[in-house]
Amino acid sequence: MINHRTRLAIPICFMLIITILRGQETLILGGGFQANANLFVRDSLRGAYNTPQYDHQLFGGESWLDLNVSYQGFNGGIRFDAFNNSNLLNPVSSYTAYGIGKWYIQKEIDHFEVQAGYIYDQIGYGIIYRAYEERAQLIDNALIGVSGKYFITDNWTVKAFAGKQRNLFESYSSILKGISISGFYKPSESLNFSIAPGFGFVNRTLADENVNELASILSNYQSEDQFKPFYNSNAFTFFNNLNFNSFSWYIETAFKPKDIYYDPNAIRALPKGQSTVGKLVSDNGSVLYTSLTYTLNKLGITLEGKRTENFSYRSEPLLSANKGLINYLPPMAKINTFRLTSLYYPATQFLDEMAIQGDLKFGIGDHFNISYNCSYIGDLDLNRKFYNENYFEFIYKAPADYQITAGIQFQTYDIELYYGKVGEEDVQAVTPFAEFLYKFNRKTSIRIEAQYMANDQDKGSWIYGLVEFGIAPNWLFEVSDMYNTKPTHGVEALHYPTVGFAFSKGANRFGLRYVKQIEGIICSGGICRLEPAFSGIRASITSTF
Amino acid sequence: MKSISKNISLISISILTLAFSSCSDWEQTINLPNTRITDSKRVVIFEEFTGASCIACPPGLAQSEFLLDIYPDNVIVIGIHSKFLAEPVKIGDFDMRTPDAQDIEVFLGGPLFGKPEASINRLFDNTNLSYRYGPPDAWQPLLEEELKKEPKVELNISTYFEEATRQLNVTLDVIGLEAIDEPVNLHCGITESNIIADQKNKNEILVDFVHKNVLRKMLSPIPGDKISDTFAVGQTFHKVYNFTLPQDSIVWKPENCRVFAYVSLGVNKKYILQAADSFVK
Repeated sequence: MINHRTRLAIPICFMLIITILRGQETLILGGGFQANANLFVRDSLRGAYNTPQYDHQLFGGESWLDLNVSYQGFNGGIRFDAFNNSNLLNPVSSYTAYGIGKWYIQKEIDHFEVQAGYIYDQIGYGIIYRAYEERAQLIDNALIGVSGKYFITDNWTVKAFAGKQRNLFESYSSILKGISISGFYKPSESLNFSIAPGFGFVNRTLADENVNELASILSNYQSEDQFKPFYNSNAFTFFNNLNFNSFSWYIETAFKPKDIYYDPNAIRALPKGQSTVGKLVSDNGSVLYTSLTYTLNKLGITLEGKRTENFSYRSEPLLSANKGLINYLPPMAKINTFRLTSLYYPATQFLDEMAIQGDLKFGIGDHFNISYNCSYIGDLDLNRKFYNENYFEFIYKAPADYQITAGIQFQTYDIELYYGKVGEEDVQAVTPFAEFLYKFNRKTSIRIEAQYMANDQDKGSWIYGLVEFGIAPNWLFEVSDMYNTKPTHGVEALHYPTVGFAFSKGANRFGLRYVKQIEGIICSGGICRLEPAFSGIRASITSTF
Repeated sequence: MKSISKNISLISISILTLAFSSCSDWEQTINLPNTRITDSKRVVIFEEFTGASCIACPPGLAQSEFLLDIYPDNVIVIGIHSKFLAEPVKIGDFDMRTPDAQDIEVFLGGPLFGKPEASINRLFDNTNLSYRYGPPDAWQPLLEEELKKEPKVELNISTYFEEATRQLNVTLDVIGLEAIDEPVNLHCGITESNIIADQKNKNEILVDFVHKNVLRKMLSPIPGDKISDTFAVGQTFHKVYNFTLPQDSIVWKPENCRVFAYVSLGVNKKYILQAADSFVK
């Protein structure tokens, strides 16, 4: 399936390459290739079944090839995307498509930078606007349009953009426009004080088809829920980063006056006096985010807070899940890397969330590092606790050949909210963990992980072990197993083993793994989705040039 | 430096002026239309993908019931309890999942996001590349768009049920009203209402919930029985389906069962042209 954007992009890129080849100066070419291939082996015992891939397709995969070019101040790029019976778009269905996923041309002319094509950018932390790519969840909400950035001085820039948001190989029908000013001010070189303030504004104009659809839906609401739909909505933000000696303080406050969005928790009246939940609403929204960091020698302290009210901002109001997100709300829980400490992660709530997070790191002597992280996430009134985590970690780095990491995590997790498991008690998990890294010599090393999660709720308690053997710079072998030591709900205790290896040479990395993986939530930057269980073989290739 | 600061101030003031007032205040007001269709000849198949363990599904069930209330002669609701989020809430509850429901889910390419979602005459959504639509309050406009269309075929249904043997006889007659230059298929199945089983809801369990229009059995293959490669104006097709209702203490009560039938384009398009239904008894 080659779409009309592909037909448009090919001549543009061809012209760009011809222009480049005619030139005399050095041409810089670069890029990358990534491919994932999954062989699905049905395993109904572990819940890996009932998708087209397990039932009859057996194979699914996706790949991306990026090419970037720079020449005489011109920058350009093109990316080919391919999906073959892929479950990346929707983990329980199959997606097949090919085409140009991205192209762009950029040029700077006398302090003015102009770009056309697929544009990735953000304002501030992205609270009102962020266009980014996250392949693990197939989020790619690039703006298809034009942008301009003018460098007023070395420290002050103003930028503006307009276009439509990418939707796979097509685009959503609304038009997005935005402008922002950001700068940096330091009164004196001798003073250890500076500020980096900014302001941003984004407008979304819905298409006729969107507004007609909204009008049709609203016309069927009962009178108390009805309102007149409109085309335009705005969002604006102020942000500043202040640095003073060892302190750094970032604050961003964003407002979204009178926007139409879908509230899945709002009560909607039905005829005959009945009611249901979920309806379109028109309301104001706001986010306040702040982060204070103190660093001195081996001590680092970070405190963060975020208040979110009615801030679902999408290309079209009826979109849900990870689709059509215009903005990005920073996550407020630690991004954990160990298998069991990352099992329960809180997805960012767009409509009603109050969150705080603290992080403390300090070093003792040359070999010890200690860190502590705590986070609390609840509703705006703090009547309901969504998530709470206390995480302690201790690292000892021996002068020569080994490193030990050990710690413990305490979690409370509202599984009803995040997984939709109604009637289930909050997860109360205690997870001690340890990691041992030993280097036999300059080339050979072994890494051992051991974790145990004590938990009486959801799926119960788990134990996890991993052994990873590395022969630098080429080979990495891994064996791991996750076992449900104390299952709940009368479920059979099962093993979830993984065996695999990765081979790296130069800029290429090839991986092959046999995987049994439990259902879970995968998250990236606070955006999460439910990932069904997996059983099969995963192959991957990454390459840069 | 002064002029730069002045420029920045001017730009900032302009943007702030724009930003602090909602653009909607400048717009012409849009009045809500009266979308109700009063004289449609279409009968629409409304396949609702739902499940007893789906906490978001009760609003969908309320919405489909509302649609049946306002269009009782033009909508046939089929509750598709495919496997996802449809396991019984507690041990002992009747399991409404059926192989046919799961096969329909697979035949239509799986969910858009999850449940509840609905397929309305199997109209394909080119934006989301799916036959399924959500959220529930978006269903009515799509249904009303279908009701505005003239039927391309006429479909007549009659049933005969023999109490003693529980033998059901369904007679279907299709008549072409417009020339159709592609394959046409015929489908037939049975739904059952008043099945009592717990239903999960947001923050609660609805004990002894009365489930309606639950798909129990397809009498035709999932892709349908082929009528013809093309169908001309005035062309007719006659088909009889026979089925014996199983004896069961909980379900297959003839007074709660309804037979539905629909004519669709072939397996590539799947779009439903016309439907009809009738009580078993």
